[in-house]
Formats: sequence, C-alpha cells, structure tokens
Amino acid sequence: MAMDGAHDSRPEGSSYIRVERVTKVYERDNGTVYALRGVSFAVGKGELVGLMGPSGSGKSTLLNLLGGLDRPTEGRVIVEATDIGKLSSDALALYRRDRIGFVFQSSYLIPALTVYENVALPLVPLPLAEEEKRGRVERALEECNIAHRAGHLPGELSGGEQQRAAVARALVNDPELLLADEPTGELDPENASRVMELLTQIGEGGRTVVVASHDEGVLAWLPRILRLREGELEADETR
Amino acid sequence: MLWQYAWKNFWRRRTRAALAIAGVVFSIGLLVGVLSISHAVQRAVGDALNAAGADMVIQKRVKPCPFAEVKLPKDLAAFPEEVLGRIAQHPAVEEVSGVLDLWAFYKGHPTVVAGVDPAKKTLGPVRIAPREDEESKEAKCCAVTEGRYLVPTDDYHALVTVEYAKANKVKLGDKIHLGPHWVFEVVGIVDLSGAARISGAEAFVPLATAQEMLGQGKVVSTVFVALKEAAKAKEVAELAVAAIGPEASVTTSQNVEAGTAALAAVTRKSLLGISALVLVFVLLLLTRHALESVAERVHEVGLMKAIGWRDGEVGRLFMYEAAFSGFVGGLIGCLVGWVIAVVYGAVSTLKLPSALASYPACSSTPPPLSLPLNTAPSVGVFVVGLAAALLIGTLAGAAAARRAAKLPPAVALRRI
Repeated sequence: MAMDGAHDSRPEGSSYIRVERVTKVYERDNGTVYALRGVSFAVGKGELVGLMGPSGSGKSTLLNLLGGLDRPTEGRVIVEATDIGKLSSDALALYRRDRIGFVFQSSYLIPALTVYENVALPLVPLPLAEEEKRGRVERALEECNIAHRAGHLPGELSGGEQQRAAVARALVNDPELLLADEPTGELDPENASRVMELLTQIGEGGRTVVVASHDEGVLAWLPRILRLREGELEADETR
Repeated sequence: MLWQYAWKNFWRRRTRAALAIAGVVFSIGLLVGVLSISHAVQRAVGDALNAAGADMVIQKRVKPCPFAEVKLPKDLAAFPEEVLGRIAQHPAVEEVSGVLDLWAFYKGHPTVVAGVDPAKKTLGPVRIAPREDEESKEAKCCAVTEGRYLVPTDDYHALVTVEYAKANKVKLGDKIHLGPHWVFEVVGIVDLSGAARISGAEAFVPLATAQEMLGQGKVVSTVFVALKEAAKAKEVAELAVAAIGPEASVTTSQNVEAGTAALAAVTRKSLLGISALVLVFVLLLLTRHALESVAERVHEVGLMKAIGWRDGEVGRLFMYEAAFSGFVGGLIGCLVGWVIAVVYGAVSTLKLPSALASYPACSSTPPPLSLPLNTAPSVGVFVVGLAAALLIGTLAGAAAARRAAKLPPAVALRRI
C-alpha cells in the first residue's frame, strides 16, 4: 500500500507509537540536509515492523527519534501518550533505560568486558541488588541462547554470537520496544537468519520490535514494512 | 555500583592507566620528596636549637682583629653583657644566657673555647638539664659524661669534649693551656655528638674567665634566648637589633634553614614552586589524556547513552576513572617521595651555617655542625600529597566528564 508521507495509517486509539509529520534537518558545513520530511505512521503494541530503504533514506534517523536519542526538528514522536521530543535530557535517558532496547549493525560490545559484563552494562547505574542484576542478566543470556559464552570476551565469539549478545544487552532491562538498526548487516546469511529468528521470537513474546534494514532478505521475517526513500515514507506494506 | 565499574574499567585499560599513574607518581613523588626533605631539614635545624634549649640565638657580625692570640672567631663581634638584661626584660622571654666564643692560640695551635654561665643549666651549648616546658625530658642535654659541670665558684676550670680529650690525650684533672697565659684544670668531659651545636667548642670555661682572656670587658658574642611565647619572637628580635645595632644577627628555626649548606642553592620555596609547576604540567597532561580517552571511547559513550545511562552517570564514570589515577598515583607517589627523602637524608650532609659554631680550619677536632636528617614519614606530608593527587585527578576527570556528558548520543553513535 503506497502512502502519502503526511498520512497516518492507523486509528489513534490503538497506537503504541505515533509518528506525526516528523521532519529532521541536519545543518552541515556543506548545507542543510533533510534526513526526514514530514513522516507519519503509527505502530501498535507488540507489532513487528521493518523500516526498509536504501542507504541515506532516513531509517537510522527515524530509529534514533523513536529511541529518544535525538529530537525531531518538526513534528512529534508519541510513545504511549508521551511526546518524547519534549522530554528533558535526563527524562529521555530514563525513557531509554526503562522502555527501549537498542541493537546496532555492529554489536558494539566493549572488547575488554566479558559477554556477561557487556550484557550487564545497562544495569550498572541502577540501584539494584547484585542478585537482582545477576538474575536479569542470566535471563537475557538464556533468552538469546548465549549463556554458554557468558565468561568469554567478545573477540572470542563469532559474529552471530556477538550479535546475540548485543540483543541480550538490549533485553536486560526488559524493554517494551526493541529497535534494531541493520542487525544483520555484518552477518553471513546463516547467522543473519538466527538473529532475525531471535528478533521475531522477541516480537512474538509481546514486545514491539522495529527493525531498520536495506536488506530485502530481512523482509521475509517481517509482517509489516515501512518503506522510506529520501526521507519520505514511500509505502506501508502489511503482509 | 558505578564506582566499582569505573574501578574495573580503570584497571582493564592497563597501558592508559599506567601512563596516567606514572604522571601522577612523578609529580606527587617530587612534591612529597621536597616536602619530606624540607620537613626533615626543619626538624634537624630545630634539633640544633633544642640541643641548646633555645628558641633564638643572637649574635653580632663584625670582623674582629685577626692578630690577637685570643680572639673572636671569624666574623663574630663582642657586645656588652648588659644587652642580656635588656632582652630578659621582654615579657615574652623566659631566660637568656650569654656565651663568649673564642679562639685561644697556644704555640700557634688554636683551641675553640666557649665561655658559658655556670648558673644557666638549661640554656646554652652544654646545658645539663631540660627546660620546664620541654615535652621530652630526654632533651639533648645532660652531656657531661665524666666529671662534673662548671659551678659558679670555678675560674680556671674547663670542660672539654670527648673528641678534644681523645685527640689531645686529656683526662680528668689534667692541666691544659688555652691561650698563651692561662692554664685550666679539666673538671668534666662532655659529649656533644648527636646534634649540631650552636656555639659548639672544644673547651668550655666560666664566662667571666673567657671575658678576662679576651680582654674586652664584660662582653658576650652569642646570646641564647628561651621564649615563653614563640609567637613574639619577632618582637624580641627587634629588641635585640635595637640593643646591639644593625649588625645583629638573629637565628631561629625558621630562618636558619635558608643558610644551611644543603639548601643554599635552591631554597625550599623555589623547590615547592617547581613542584607546583610540575603539578600544573601533569594536570594539563592528565586533562589531555582524559579528553583523549573520551575521544577514543566516543562509541562507548554513545552506547552507554543509548542503553539509558544519564549524562551525569556517563560523566561520573570518567571522573571516577581519572580520580582513581590520582588516588593510585598519589599513593605510589607518596611512597616514592618518601624514598627520595630517605635517600637524600642518607647521602647528603646537612650542616648548620658555620657562623653558629665557628671552628677554624686547623682545629684539632671537627666542628659539631652536622645536622642528622630524620626522614621518618610524616602523616601531614602524605595527606598533602594524596590530596594534591586526588585534586589533579579529579580536575582532569572533570574536563573529560563534562565533554562525555555533553556529547549528544545520536552524534556519538554516528561516529561509530
């Protein structure tokens, strides 16, 4: 289904995320760059959604806005009735801590820390008992089937294992929304399939999952695709 | 806990941590070394005054006639004994004692003689009792090892040092010549080792006899002053200058150290100035080092913010890591500084200014000028060193913390 970039595709009441006419502009030395132009859509709770599009289409920018890493230049990003663009820096950090899990193209595990310690990283500043932290980390490691590598350093893991550890790190705070930016971009097809299988399982478990990718192979795993081109929402496809 | 994670993180980056620690160790080692040596010098100089039971020593410096057979040493000059009475009237003064330092030649050979007041048993170069206000009753007094101390009825009686007795094969009861016309009976042998002696001499005789030997009337060349109120030392010094004249020289533990041989070239203040400059230099290096650490770990900063660390938490992480550099470097630096002070104390020979014990080059025994340096660790110096280390670590960390905290997460992640 082709979309008008300014049009919302879902009834307001059922939405977990509402993106309303969002524009993101970057001022660069060589001029103004429009990363997003009046993008609108909605995502329901527990949905598994793909953001597809070529490089530079605005996928990562949109994920950053959904995850509260950046603020829109115009428009609103509303997550469960909260306009996250209006939150203070600290409130945004708490939003990310309590509600969001990020998975990046590269795992970005800290090489000097073990898998266990990397997964525990989001819990470090939290005033939780060590036992509670340990329980959370072990559950996340189990969920991502990487518990057997907990004591290893990232350099000792395969690419797929590293990415599964990164997913475990994203899940350790039990987020409602998992945002994955090109999660299979650096993986061979076999490992890419394992990671996508894991992400779909997480989605089926009740979490909302948004996966940004330019890889058409990822399409097969996602029931709904939002296609972006040059900062505009080109299509909203449900299968 | 954040600080526990910072501590782990700090040790994981061993090379970086080692470099930062090395900078702190260098600067704090230098600072603590200088402070420890300076402290030891002050204590040593204090020991010299303590050995005499004095808070202040007053002399007059004018070159005397060099040709007499009994003369004042080097550039010392004599001044009237009545000056003692004027100084003693100051309310801050507890006691005064006059000494007349002489070189007495006999058959061309000089003996260093000090005329002392036999009634002053707690103040002077060979005092035999502690002062009432002295904490330690084991003060460096009671130096008579054989025989007795001088008594007011003595005239041609002398105490000689252990070294003089040994060098000249003198025993108790022997007669010795001091100058061309005077023969003294040795009534006591004194041990002056263990501390530098102001107005130290080879032989000690009654002050009145020494005045007779010099032939300038009732004069003294050195006045030892014990104070009731150390804070009023300046007033007493001014009174002494007024009584004696502009050539008066007043020595206290505060001003004598500047004249000691070991610190003649570079004073304590200049060394502390150099240490402060080194601290500032190391602070700048550490700041640069900490900022580079943020630049190198920008992806880590982005990641931390993406997973929900607040700006303040990210900043605190860098601050703690830098503070740990300061703390660990400070601890090692304090030890290194103390070792420097111990080595300095072991290899250096610190001496009182020779004017305070004017032995001629051809004296038969060495002058008691050596100041033993006590380089025992000082809690105060270590606290200063550790505080300085923590301060530079924290200041360096603050710059890094601010930069890391201000880094927008999306910008940091784009740099990945």
